[in-house]
Amino acid sequence: MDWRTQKRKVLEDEVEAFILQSVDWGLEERRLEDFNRLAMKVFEFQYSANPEYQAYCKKRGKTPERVRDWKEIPAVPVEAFKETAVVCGPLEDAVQVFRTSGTTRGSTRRGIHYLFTTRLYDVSLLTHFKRALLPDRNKMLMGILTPSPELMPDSSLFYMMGKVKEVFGAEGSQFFLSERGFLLGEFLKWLEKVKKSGEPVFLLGTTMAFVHVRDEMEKKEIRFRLPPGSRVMDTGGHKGKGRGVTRNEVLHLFDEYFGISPEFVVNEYGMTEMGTQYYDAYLGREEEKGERRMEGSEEDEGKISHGKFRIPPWARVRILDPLSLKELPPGETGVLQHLDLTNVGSAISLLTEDAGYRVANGFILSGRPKGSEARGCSIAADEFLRQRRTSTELTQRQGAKE
Amino acid sequence: MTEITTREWIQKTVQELKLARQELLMKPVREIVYRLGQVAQNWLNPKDPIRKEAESSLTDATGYSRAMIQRALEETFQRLRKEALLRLLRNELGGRMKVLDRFTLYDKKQKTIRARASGHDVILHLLSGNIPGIGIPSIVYGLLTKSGNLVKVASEEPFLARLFARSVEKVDETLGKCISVAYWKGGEREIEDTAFASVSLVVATGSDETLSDIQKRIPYPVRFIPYGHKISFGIIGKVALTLNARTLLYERAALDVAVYDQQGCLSPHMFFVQEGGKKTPREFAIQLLEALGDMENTLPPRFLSLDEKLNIRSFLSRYEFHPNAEIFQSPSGRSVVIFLPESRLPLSCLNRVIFVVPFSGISQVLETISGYVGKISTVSVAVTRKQLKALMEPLHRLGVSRICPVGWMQLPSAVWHRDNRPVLSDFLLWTDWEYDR
Repeated sequence: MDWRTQKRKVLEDEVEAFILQSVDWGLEERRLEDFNRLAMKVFEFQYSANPEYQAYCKKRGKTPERVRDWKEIPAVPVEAFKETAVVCGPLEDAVQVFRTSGTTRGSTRRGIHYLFTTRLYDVSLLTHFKRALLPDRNKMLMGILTPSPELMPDSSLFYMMGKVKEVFGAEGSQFFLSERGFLLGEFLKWLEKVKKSGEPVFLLGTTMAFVHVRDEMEKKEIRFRLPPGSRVMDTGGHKGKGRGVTRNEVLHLFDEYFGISPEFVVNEYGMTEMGTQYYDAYLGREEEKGERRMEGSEEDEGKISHGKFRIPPWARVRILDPLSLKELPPGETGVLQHLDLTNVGSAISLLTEDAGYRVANGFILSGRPKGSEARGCSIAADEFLRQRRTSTELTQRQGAKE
Repeated sequence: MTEITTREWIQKTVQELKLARQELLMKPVREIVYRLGQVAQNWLNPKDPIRKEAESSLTDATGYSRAMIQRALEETFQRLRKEALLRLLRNELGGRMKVLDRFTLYDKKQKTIRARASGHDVILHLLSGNIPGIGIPSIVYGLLTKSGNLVKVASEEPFLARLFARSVEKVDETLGKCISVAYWKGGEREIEDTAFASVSLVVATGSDETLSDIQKRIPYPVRFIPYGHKISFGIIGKVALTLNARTLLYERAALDVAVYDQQGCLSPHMFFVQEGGKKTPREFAIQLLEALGDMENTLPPRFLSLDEKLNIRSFLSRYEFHPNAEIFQSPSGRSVVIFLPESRLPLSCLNRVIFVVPFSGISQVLETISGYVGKISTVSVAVTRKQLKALMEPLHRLGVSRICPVGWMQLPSAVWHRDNRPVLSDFLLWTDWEYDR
């Protein structure tokens, strides 16, 4: 066995244990030391296991001997996932490959995140998801507005949806995007049926998908009042693509068309290059109710503001000046750096192209800059939707000709 | 001055300009030169109230530091002084500048032809806002050729042209009446098409896309002078890295990068640096960064929005894990040199991000740039005479419009053939009178 594989597995055990111990999140403070120690260990490993990363660190004078704090671990720009394989082991050992959409600006190059195991991804996903969205239940009936992972196995978002459905989805949970496109009619029929059963539902999907549904419901003059306890997890909406919907519009959409109040609508933010997700609310937490409405300012029109994204104990977020890469004080907008312990096999320290600012215990996203390459899962799904639609239109048109 | 631009306004203004121009046609060109020279002198006086106002509004509008704006104004108006205008007239009219006043003997050897030239009833100038001052010379050439000038300013920088018009009016009322400044949103078809149809010459600076759109919409026989977006770069031979006397080299190269933060066509995207000198191209890159770092104090970089900063970061990220590239960045992060040992001409994201690409011989450089026909504005050089000889003719054939020393990229001469064109002659309409044949 490759020495890197051995070492990696040991570290993965440690990170997994760390995540599982995070159940009592109040201990976070006391566990700062543990976090730092673990981060340094993973850094040392990645430094020795990835020669390109090593060269990158050396250029910055940041070798394991010199780095004492997780904040100093050189961050890999997500753009690097397009240039090279960011891996700490033999490529052929990868069991899962996630690709970024990267389809705009004429760029066909996509970033690739290789995973040697989905273990940490799963543990982090399920632990955090349960805490944020299912504190009160073990299983729920899910209506998911994305394709199933089988349809597009290299999408981290669809993988996530598949996993969540597998573990938390009650019988009858369904995906409503297929190779035929968006199954809007079926989705509406399904909602009609579950509404009658009186059982709460869990709707999941990209923000844009829900906007499409809203448009259709508006046309058909349909409104639902879903049973109490129903909830939503929407993802994206912060990528600066598609129609500019503000967060308030989204919350309003669920309130008006589905009868789901803002306390039960949670936005998710994640990246292909990273195993950890962030949520802008944890359900059922009394102390959060006041914060639920927009914390993000809406000063710039067309940009979408969100609630505060919470950071789980196994991750850290810093806000940096985009050029000097020095950390900015809370409240100042800069570029996001993530430190994500689940990325043992790739890179734990990541420099994103997303803008945001720090607030107590979390961060607020500020949308993407104009002209930067828009990317992210929300677009993948949206693109998927559009492609399908175009092909159906084509078939219909051809049919009409004949 | 804040009249809303409508079709009717354009039509009315064009009529007024035509009328005003009749008066200008009576003014001898020498007097015009003298008056415009006075205008330039006023602008060169740091205490002049209009100049002071320009400094403040341009600093606010463009994000450039005051030092940079002052520099831009100095450079612009140095080139429009009386002496410079006379040189320009001599240069292009060969000592026959009186053709601008009356029928004048045109060819001394052929005494049977007299000629007379003047500009247009109305010239429409579509200005761009990237470099402060860039649009002023074309207005001056319009006045010099006794034309009426309708000036459309850019939304990013609507101030300088207005202030310039005011400064002209202060010195000479007739000249002042021959400039009208307007603003409308680029692409507002109705207004733009009215303007295109009411003038006889359109001068525009812009991207290929904008210019070809304008070209399609200009009705025949209205003439069009397009100034396209271009790229520039420098070539540094090993001789420059060997001689001790060339210690200023890095400073000069840094100046080319820092002035206007690479926003203009004359700014370099990169330097080709020859291998085999006393210093390696990589060492050159490091030294260049040091000089750029120092220059952040003397010529502070432009204010950047978060979006602009993120775009630069995104651009740099592409090279962080590039197998050959090496990035050198100043502590503030505002100056960046990317050392890229590959045979190509990389384009920068601008705002003080410059590439250094090593080369072994001139032929290699020529091959690398061979695909950029008609796309190159300025090439700065620090090479041997022999190398220069090998470069000149091929650069001409590539359509390069200017070759200059390193450090001079932002300072074209007053007679420079921008975009390979004549300067004044492009604005002139001629009548020849042949008699007694």
